[in-house]
Amino acid sequence: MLMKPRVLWIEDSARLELRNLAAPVYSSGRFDFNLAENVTSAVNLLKVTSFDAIVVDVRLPPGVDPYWKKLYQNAGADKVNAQLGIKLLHWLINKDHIIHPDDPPNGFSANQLGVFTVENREDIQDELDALGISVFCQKTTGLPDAILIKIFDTIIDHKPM
Amino acid sequence: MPDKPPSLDQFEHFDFRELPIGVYMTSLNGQFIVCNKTIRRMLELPLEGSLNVNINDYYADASHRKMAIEQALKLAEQGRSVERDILHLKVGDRDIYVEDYCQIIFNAEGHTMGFVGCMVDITSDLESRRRERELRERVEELRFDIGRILHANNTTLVMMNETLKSTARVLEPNPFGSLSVPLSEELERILDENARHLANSITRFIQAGDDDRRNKALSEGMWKELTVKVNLLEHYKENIAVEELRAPTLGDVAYEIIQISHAVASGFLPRESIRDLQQSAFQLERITALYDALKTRDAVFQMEYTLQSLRDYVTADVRTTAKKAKFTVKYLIDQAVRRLTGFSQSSRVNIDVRDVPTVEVHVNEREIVRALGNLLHNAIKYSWRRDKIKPSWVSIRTSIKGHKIHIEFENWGVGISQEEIEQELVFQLGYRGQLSTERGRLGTGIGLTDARRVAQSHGGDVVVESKPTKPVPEHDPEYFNQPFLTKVTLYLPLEEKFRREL
Repeated sequence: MLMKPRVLWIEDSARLELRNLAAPVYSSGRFDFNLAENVTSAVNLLKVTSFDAIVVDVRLPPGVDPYWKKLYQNAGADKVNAQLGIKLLHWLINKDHIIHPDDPPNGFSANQLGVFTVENREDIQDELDALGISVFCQKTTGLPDAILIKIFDTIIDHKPM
Repeated sequence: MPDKPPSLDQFEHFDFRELPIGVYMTSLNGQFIVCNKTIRRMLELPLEGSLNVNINDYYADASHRKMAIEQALKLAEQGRSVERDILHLKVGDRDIYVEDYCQIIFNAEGHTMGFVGCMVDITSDLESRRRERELRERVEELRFDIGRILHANNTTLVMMNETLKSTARVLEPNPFGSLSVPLSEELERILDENARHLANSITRFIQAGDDDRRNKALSEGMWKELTVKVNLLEHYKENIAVEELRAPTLGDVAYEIIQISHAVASGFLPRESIRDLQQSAFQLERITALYDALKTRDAVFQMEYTLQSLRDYVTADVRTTAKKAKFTVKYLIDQAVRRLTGFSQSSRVNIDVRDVPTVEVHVNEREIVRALGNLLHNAIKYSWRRDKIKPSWVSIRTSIKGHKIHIEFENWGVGISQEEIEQELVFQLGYRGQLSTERGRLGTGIGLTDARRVAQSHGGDVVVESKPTKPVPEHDPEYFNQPFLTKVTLYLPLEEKFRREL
């Protein structure tokens, strides 16, 4: 039996506002779907599990880790200003110890990652370029039901969105 | 440090050219007789040497010079001098604004000979004042616009609420009994029952005909899909780790089964088995859609109050506020409770108001009801259920301490860290508690800030306490996963009469 691709969605609104976006991923039966709702939980998962595709929100809460919490508080305890999702990506890809003193889990490349956020692409394009991430989707009301599946497929198949 | 003060002699010989304020003397027609370095710098003139320059050449509008002279003469007749007259000058392409203090020089016969005075460059002050004024005007406009937008959004939310209510009615019979969000055990029981039902229907459908008929009725891929769905439905709790995502996923599965049932080619399989499959799938889809509507309606209630409070907060200064008047504390609490009834019912949180003394406060009703409502809204929003039988509840208690009425809102649920309380972070505008977004709670971070501002403007305050209910150390990741007992108290001075009686 073929192993299902293991995918991770790092998103703090998945349980309520975006609950209907996660449903098709489960019901398709095609993915081993995992969810992390803050940066600390995501890092803990990434340390012990490898994923074929990871989709990250930009506005994430820090969770209990004191360094992520400090970054969050330094940005006025505001998810919009803190942009912890972007910081997490920099830490994972560029191993930026200024962001967090710990070594990030090994083996991450930009082509395993995608960004799914309310921000306009233009607003974070410089960051995406610096990270080498090409998979981006903006959260809007007109999204198709299976958008999350599409993003995961795009990352896994290395196709443009 | 020299111990002797400067002498009068030093003043007599003081070089006014070095003064940090511009000093000048001109003839009647504006020709400079003399001016110090500050004026020379101001007008970009050589710092040393004689001058052949006329102040008239620096006026941005030449007609203003005539007006300034007329005004100076008029003031001189009254024995006064020009003070703080603002002149608009032009130095090259640059506009400068100076504050002019000037006196007319008369000769022995009383004829005007010229002017002596001081100038201070106030260009940057004026510029910042102008920017401040523009900014204030923009803020006012924005506040007006935000108020209007929030008002329109509130109306949209009312429409959404009504639509969701109608949707819920269309989806009846309602196995949850009311339009409140069902308790998780209740939901689980109903989902279990209906998921099992659909799994059985699919199994019966799969076994309904021989291989030949089955292959003619549906493609191989669809039969495979149905088998996958049976497995998902039978083990949905193990397959869907996140509890909140089970209902939408089951709804999605049911929808897909319905689509497959529509694709069945007629004449190959018994109609009853197709009907049975469709009915079970419709039933599960209907229940998950109903649950979805109730959950969204609950979010609409939350958002409605939040937007309303935000609108009140943003427009508080521009609105003509009612004057303060005497109100009983009971009346004010009842008003706040009434505003939150829809939300508390939808969230299944009971509000327990205890023994309110018959005392009065002298307050602005609208502001205080909003402040109390903010605290009650938070208490409801951040409540957890204490046991499986009873719904959650929020206690409102009152007490009189030192001529003040204390109104306490206590809940059991999401905690606030000591750090956030001690550093008063929870009172910062826009700040949302570290755990406040847990379980998808919506908010703006304005409620506590606004409540405190209102309380303080009435001579009171708001204080927050939050204590863990289990002895777990703070560095333990489980610390914030436990329920906290949180008490937020708003206190206000009692009305004069009641203070005297105490």
